[in-house]
Amino acid sequence: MQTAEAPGSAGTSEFDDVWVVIPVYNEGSVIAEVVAGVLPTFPNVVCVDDGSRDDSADHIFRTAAHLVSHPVNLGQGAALQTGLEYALLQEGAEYFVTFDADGQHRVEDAAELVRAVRDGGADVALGSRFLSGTVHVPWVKRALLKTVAALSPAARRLELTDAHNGLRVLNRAAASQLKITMNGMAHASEIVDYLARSELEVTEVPVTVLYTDYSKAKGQSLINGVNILFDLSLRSRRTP
Amino acid sequence: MIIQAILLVIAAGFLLLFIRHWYSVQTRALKRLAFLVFIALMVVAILRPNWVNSLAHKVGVGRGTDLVLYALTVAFVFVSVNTYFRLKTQEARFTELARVIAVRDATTLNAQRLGRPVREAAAMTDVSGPPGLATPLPPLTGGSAGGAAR
Repeated sequence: MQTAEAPGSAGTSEFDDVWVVIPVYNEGSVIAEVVAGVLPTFPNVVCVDDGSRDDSADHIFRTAAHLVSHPVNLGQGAALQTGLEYALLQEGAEYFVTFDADGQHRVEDAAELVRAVRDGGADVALGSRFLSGTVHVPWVKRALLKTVAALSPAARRLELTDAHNGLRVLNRAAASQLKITMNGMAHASEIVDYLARSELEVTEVPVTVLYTDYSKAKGQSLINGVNILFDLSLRSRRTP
Repeated sequence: MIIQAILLVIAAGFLLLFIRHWYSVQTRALKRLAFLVFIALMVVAILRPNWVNSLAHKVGVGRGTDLVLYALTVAFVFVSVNTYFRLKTQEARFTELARVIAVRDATTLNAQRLGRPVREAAAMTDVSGPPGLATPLPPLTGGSAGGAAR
């Protein structure tokens, strides 16, 4: 049996009060590596296996990350909400990072976001691909994301440049109020919407997204944007 | 044409229902009343087909069959939207259920495999739970830290 990193190493890190939430769906080939990259900086990681059909759960099981398994596949939004609820139950958890499982986020960026919340006085920090160098964003993707950001009233109110970045940091107040109801991919817009309606202080921090071939292959397609818009338009009409 | 006006009003009504309180008690009562009216009209249409025809002529539709077709379309849209919202509610409940199960099982599982107590949900009083809920798994860290689990 492979020996996992000592979970007891907690107590030394700058980020003991931080919980990293990683929604996982069929990421067996990369998840162990991603978790191994996160753990040295953030000792508290919870991976939510969203009913993966591959061996993702086994890979997570062999790491020192907490494993929460959805009995059935529910969607990324649902997995995020589960992870946050689990992390909120943990002793000493003050900051909550949402982190993608496909390895497109950098741990340094996550640390930067945590500092922005902890020291910068914000309640929520969102990663943005567009604040600094945008060299790494494929242009089709860039155009799409910019359009979404421009079309979304919530994103405009918050003056966000990137409404669909999976890297976020929330403090306890923000995380406990957040209730993601969009189980699928529309949750990103839902979160921005929630933030815009709340009194929370939101800041954007430049991050670099690593568009590996793997993450590109798994990323959201243009056609899925139609699904997202449909779900969102119906949902926002229902909320009073 | 009167029929156009009627259909447009119905469409607007749907949109309004859509936008606000699809679920309120009044809406539910209205839906049931509408259903009763629909059945009543159906019975009338079966017993007196020529009434449908003359009604069709009055509202500017060529044949009674066309009027029935319009009514069917309206009913179909209504049922679709209703089913959509019902499924959404169902999904939300289902998600909540799955989440509670996932978090509860994970609390037990991670306490055992990571070898340290994991905070449990307030509602769940017994970490050990009934046997079989979470499969007991051997601690990963070779036992040294695993002993602290319970």
